Amino acid sequence: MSTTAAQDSLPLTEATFYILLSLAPGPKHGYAIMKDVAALSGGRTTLSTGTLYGALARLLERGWVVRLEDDDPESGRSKKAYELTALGRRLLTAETARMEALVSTANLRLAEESR
Amino acid sequence: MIRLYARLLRLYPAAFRQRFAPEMTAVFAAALADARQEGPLAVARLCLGELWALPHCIVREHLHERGSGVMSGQPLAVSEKSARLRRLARSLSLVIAAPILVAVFSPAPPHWPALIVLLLVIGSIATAWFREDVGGRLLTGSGVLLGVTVALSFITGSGVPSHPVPGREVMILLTGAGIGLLAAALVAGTGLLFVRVARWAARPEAASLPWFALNAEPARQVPLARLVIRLAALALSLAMACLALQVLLAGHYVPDRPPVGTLTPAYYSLMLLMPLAVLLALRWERAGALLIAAGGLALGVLAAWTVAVFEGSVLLILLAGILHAVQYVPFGVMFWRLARQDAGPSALPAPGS
Repeated sequence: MSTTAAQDSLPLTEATFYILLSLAPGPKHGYAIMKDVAALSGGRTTLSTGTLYGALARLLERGWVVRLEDDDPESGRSKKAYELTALGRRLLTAETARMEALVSTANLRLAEESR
Repeated sequence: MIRLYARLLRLYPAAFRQRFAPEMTAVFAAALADARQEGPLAVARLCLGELWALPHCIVREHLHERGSGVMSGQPLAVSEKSARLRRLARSLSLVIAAPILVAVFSPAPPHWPALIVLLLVIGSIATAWFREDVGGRLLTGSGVLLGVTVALSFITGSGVPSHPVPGREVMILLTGAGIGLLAAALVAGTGLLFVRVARWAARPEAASLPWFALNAEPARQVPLARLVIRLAALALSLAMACLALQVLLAGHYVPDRPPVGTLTPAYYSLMLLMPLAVLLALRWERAGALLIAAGGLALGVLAAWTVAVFEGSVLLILLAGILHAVQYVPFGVMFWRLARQDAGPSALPAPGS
């Protein structure tokens, strides 16, 4: 995906951003993503299963995440894990940079007004 | 609670459900187990959160499926035949919904029992546009209920006449039964079409089978299809025969105006004989098919001729002829095809071929 096309996908929704952020360190199963998102947002964002899997379905379609088969050693059953792709990581970085620019602009303006 | 959750997942589109339902159930089960350790408040928070998000998520997935029709890696193989059947089912549902909405919102709406049934039909139609299998089944059931309601309303609504007419009660009963059967056949039939479209969407290989095949298992296809076609043909022909009998008994045609005086009794008498043609088709399908198709064409010609005698427009003449022919000719074709299925050993293609 080109830089322009990637920027067309921004801004990300809060749920999408947190899901991508949760997957940044490495692959995770669905429930782990849910718990991680709640922890990252300080409890502000709690994903329902419908919201989580709806978002994952869109992310899979766009190629921002991939689905992995992972064998659970305890139960012996195969579970599905999700991993960020290179494209997904680029978009996460772009969104983070966009929000940093916004915050930096806002801080500058507020600092000027307080003088 | 997990079983309830798994049942609620059936409201999602089929493709989404096939792909994610096991995972979603497992995640909900894990979340529920953790919440139980925290206490009843955490459990309530989890369940309410799921219920709150459910309608929005379901609608979003259905709209996404309608919009793209494709999920990554698992395209919905909706064939052209399936798409045509869906368009037909939706068009019929709009034809049914329009007069019902007019009746419901009219200045003098029906009494509450009939109103509830009409609203049930409307609700089933709305559901069928988003969930064809569930909505189709609801529409089939509400169609039967509507038929019974219409028949009873007609029969009980006919007041005491000022001049006694011999056999009036029989006429009212026949007319009510006929109208009720017609209403039930139209609405329930539309519901069955929606169910068919849903099955084809869930099992793309089934779309390669004849449209009236009810089951992808070859051993069960023809008997089930035969049963449905027989019941539908009997219901329709009996309904029309009831109406025809009522007209003939009441003498509502104009005998002294030729050629109408000959045409209309011939028309209604032929309508009266159609159930016999259907009964014949139960035993000898080819012969019955030919008789039904011929009878349908004859009815179409008689109807068109009658309208022409009354100096109707060309459009009205054509419409009268076509509308009467299509009531029976398709059944003739269906019985003929059923007879052909039995004639050859490999008449029906195997699923997936």
